[in-house]
Amino acid sequence: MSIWHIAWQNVRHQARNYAAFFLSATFAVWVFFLYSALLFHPGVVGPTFPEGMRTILTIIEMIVVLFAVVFILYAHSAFQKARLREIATMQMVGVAPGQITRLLAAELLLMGAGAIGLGIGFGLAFLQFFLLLISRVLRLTEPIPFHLSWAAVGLTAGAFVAIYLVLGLLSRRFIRRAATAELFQAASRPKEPPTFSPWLAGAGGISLLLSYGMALSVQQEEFVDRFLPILALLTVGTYLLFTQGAVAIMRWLKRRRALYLRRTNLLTIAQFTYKVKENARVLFLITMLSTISLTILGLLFNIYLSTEQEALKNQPVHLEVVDAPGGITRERITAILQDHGVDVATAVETPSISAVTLAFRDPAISFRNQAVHRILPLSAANRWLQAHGEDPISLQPGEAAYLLDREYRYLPSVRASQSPVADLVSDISGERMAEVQVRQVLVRNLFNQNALLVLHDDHFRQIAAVAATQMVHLYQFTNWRAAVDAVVGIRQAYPGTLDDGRPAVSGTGIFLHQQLQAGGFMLFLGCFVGLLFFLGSCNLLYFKLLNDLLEERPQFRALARVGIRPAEVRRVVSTQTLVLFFAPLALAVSNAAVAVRMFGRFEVAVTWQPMALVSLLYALLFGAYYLITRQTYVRALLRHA
Amino acid sequence: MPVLQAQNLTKIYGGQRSAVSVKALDSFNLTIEAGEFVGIMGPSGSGKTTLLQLLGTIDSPTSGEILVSGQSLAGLKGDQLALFRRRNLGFIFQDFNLLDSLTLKENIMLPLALEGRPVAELESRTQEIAKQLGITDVLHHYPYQVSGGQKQRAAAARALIHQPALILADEPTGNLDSKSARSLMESLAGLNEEAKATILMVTHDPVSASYCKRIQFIKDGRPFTELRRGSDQAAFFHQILDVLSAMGGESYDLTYARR
Repeated sequence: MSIWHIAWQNVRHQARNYAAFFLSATFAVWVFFLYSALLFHPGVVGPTFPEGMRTILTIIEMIVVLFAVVFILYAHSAFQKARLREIATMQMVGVAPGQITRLLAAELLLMGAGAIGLGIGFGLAFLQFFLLLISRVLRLTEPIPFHLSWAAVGLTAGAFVAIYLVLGLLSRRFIRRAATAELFQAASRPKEPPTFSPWLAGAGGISLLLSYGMALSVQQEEFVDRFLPILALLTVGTYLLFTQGAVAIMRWLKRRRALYLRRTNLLTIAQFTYKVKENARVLFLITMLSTISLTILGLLFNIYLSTEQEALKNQPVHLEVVDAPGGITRERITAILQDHGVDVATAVETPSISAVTLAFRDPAISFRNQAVHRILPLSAANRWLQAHGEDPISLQPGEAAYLLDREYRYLPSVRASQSPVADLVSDISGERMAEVQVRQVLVRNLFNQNALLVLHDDHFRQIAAVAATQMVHLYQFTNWRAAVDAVVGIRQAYPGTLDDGRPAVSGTGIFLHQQLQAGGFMLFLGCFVGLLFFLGSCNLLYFKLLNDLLEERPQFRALARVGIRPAEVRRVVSTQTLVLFFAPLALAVSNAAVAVRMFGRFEVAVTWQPMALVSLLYALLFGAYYLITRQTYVRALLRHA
Repeated sequence: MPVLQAQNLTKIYGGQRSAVSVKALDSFNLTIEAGEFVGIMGPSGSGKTTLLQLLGTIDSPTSGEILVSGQSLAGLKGDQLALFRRRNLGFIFQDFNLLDSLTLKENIMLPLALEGRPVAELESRTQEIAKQLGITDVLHHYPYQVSGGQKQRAAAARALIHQPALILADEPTGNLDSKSARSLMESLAGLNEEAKATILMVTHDPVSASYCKRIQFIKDGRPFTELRRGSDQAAFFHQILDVLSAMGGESYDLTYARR
């Protein structure tokens, strides 16, 4: 009888216990495999796919691995605790501690092997569908073809075999080498009532509030310095809230006699005090996992929903073509637009000068040498401004207007130094091209580049005679959404890039298309990770609760004899389970709402609806798991009562 | 009206088709009047525990009828049974069956709390009953913090708090040392005398049994004989020993432990 044989018997015997764990482990392998398949897919390259897709996939793969490690470690130690009596019995009949650890490791490996096999198997079965889904999310015209990459299978199997082997070997260190008698006692010793330290409970509440306050008041430039302290305070606060605060709340409830001594409340609250203390670590883990998922999903969803707004802000010009000599002509552009039946509202065609630096002479602001993306002549700029209902700029030769898309921190100093004199320096040759007096600094979000310099037409011509120029075509359509195909067509006809690497053809529609593609893709991947974390959390809780069942049965049997009604048992267990599931979720929602708000302070436009929707979906999933757990629990309890 | 009437109680384990069917009780009759303190004694396997389970509505008889305060138990199911049990019966078990997560006080209050009685009543009843049983000082302790005797007193207090028609005690002294056992039996006898509690107790222990007013001996599921106590407890104790040896000394297990 080999150790594997016994291990296999044990796994079969403990199937019900292991099922929840097995489900999560399989799901982790499944997700990892699908992402690997995408990562190694030879067809997933090229301009139709979002930039940085592989990087994102790699990061998510690492998150999955990290999750798997934490989850397996935790589950493994929970199993050992659940089987103290069995371990004690083995020690009593003379099984050496080393053999016991080997046996437990063997069980872990057997289950790991099962999870890997099943996860990859399901992954293969699901791969075609997954690729179709991804194609839909990426708005591809041609779906990604089915391709089974052995590298993906190898990476998945290799990674997880390594995880299980390492954790299996390490588990020797985790097993408690306690005396047999001690193990027996630990399994049946009456538990002392949970205690808490008012100081620690208070510290928990304060750190949580402090982290919220810091997160909600953080300024962009402090963000990097504050991020870790906020995270640390949040983690510590959440941990203390479950280990200390929860007991404190139960004590407080107990002091409210009229409530506490009301029917089943007595049982519910008294028992819950023990349950929450024993499960504090798992509740903390669930809260943090859910906080992470909800934050990621909330942010991604917010980003996704604000894509159009972002596109209009970032690329307000519906079509911009920058033409290097010998490139596309206006006739060609007009022809393509006509082919697509696009209605042009405004069109401006103008020469421009690019790659210039604005070097201020005033020492007070000279440290702010400004990169200028493009110099435009006054007449063209005014035509564009007037087409948007803006007042025209008036300039004399030698004067300049500086156009920015938003208010920058240094602008007041430029404005304060009235009409500062600056040199225009060519970025290419490094030569001084002209001297200008910056008369106006305007914040107008009307161009696709954020820093433009406008010069009087005469002055512009003077400089253009010696500098390289590029034609710029700016178009505003009556309906930009209807023009996306036309703009894509123009880009295909003229796929060149500018000196700074940006495509020569840009526009609101193209930008929106790319952003939706990338945003949708991230959201899609995020959903899988969210689901993985959700399954992990709920399975841990399910396992812990069913494990408590063994201890609770004699107690409820005693109650049954005294005459407790099945309905009352159900009410006690339901209330307790409900709080165990939803207290972490409520805290996670609050944590995540603050986190999303924090990120919303700078880059992302945040509204509350996406967060509410994501939380609601998560709550529905938790609710479903709660119902299953409660049902199993109550049934098992009443059957043996 | 008698508190308890058991008529023609028969309990057969392992139905007719089963190869092994055991008749644990055979047309057993028992009547208990209000204020009685009745002991049930008999050798292992005589049907004591079965009788107690039937009377306690934890199991139902194969045939026969049980009336508690004139009300028949036949036909009570699930919730009704649980409610009946907690309103009319009080239980004291050998292994106490106190809840670890509640203090003694909360354990005692539990039956009344489940009934939704007001806090003031819970408090006053608990104080009253705890005083009678001498556990006022340990009310705020948890079961693991007190001695076996104190646990059993708390269990007795829980059984008594709602003033049930009948208290069923199953080997209440089985897990106690002799001093605690005596002290508990004195308390139960006191409750019987002063609070007029009606008690039915199953026991192995002749010393504990000698506190009863009447003892019904049972053998092979049938009544064997009955003893009534006079004024002298010591004489009663000896009478009990005589009956026990007459019932078959060898088959009688004189140690206290039932299991």
